[in-house]
Amino acid sequence: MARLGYIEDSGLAIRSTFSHLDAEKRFEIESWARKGGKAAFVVT
Amino acid sequence: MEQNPKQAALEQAVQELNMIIRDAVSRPMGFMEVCGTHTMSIFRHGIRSLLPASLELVSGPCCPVCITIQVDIDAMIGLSSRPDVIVVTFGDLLGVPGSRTSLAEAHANGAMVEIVYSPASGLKIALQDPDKQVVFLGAGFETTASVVAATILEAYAKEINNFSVFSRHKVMYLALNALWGDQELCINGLLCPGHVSTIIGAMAYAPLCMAHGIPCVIAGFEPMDILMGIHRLVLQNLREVAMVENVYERAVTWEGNRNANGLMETVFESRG
Repeated sequence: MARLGYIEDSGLAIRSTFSHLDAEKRFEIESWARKGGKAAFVVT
Repeated sequence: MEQNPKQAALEQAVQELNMIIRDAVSRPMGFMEVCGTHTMSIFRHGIRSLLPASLELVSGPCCPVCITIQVDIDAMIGLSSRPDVIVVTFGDLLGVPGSRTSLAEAHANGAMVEIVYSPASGLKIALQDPDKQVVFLGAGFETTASVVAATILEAYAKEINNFSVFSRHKVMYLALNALWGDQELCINGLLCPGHVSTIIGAMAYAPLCMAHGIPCVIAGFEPMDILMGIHRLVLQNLREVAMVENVYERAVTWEGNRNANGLMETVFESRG
């Protein structure tokens, strides 16, 4: 999980200005980081 | 058959450079070629067979496929399973396994997955099919992220609202910096990738080089480029110095591509 952590922290998120073009927000994808380290993705 | 003079000159130069490297390596050394494109070129041209046994090349983690974690693949497959979604992606993500299946299998089972060569093609698909949500899967480093940033800005300007990007892009420097925190890593230098460096510039490796004392050499993907890069890494180790060197000056500058970096700065922010 340590390796997952550092790769996740190296990521680029889309700024809130463009949130309507961000699939993560549009489809409410819960990221690994926001789940406190649990590998849980939920596409609603 | 008569040999092409340019080919003959290149072969001679490769042999000479290889002799220099062989003579220079007086103790075991290990270098990491950061990028998968370097790895492929090294194998394609048999470069490992040219090097002395005391010099080890270690393949790094930095290709879009390697750095896309399984849960992200699962999320991409989840998106593709929605009836209102067309997933748009570069072909290299298709065969990457998630926890249960892959995008290729999902596609074979009826999911709408379109392979494109440019994220801008996703915009065209979105315009052609306004009843669908088109999601581009953004994976890879700054080389891809900068193009995706330009596409997001175009979608924003043209008010194309059925297009979005699932950004799993990564920052080269942060990934390498984190990698260097791995206690098991035993590497004497980094062969840094040419294409990403055209965007981020040679200076992007300076903090890593200074913080960890890692020799960093940016090289192109031709055999001569790679051997020159390895040679510089050997010399830095023998001289016990760590600096950023660029042997791919025909494409990479110290500052990088300011326009591309500006696009990324406008669109993206770090998750770290």
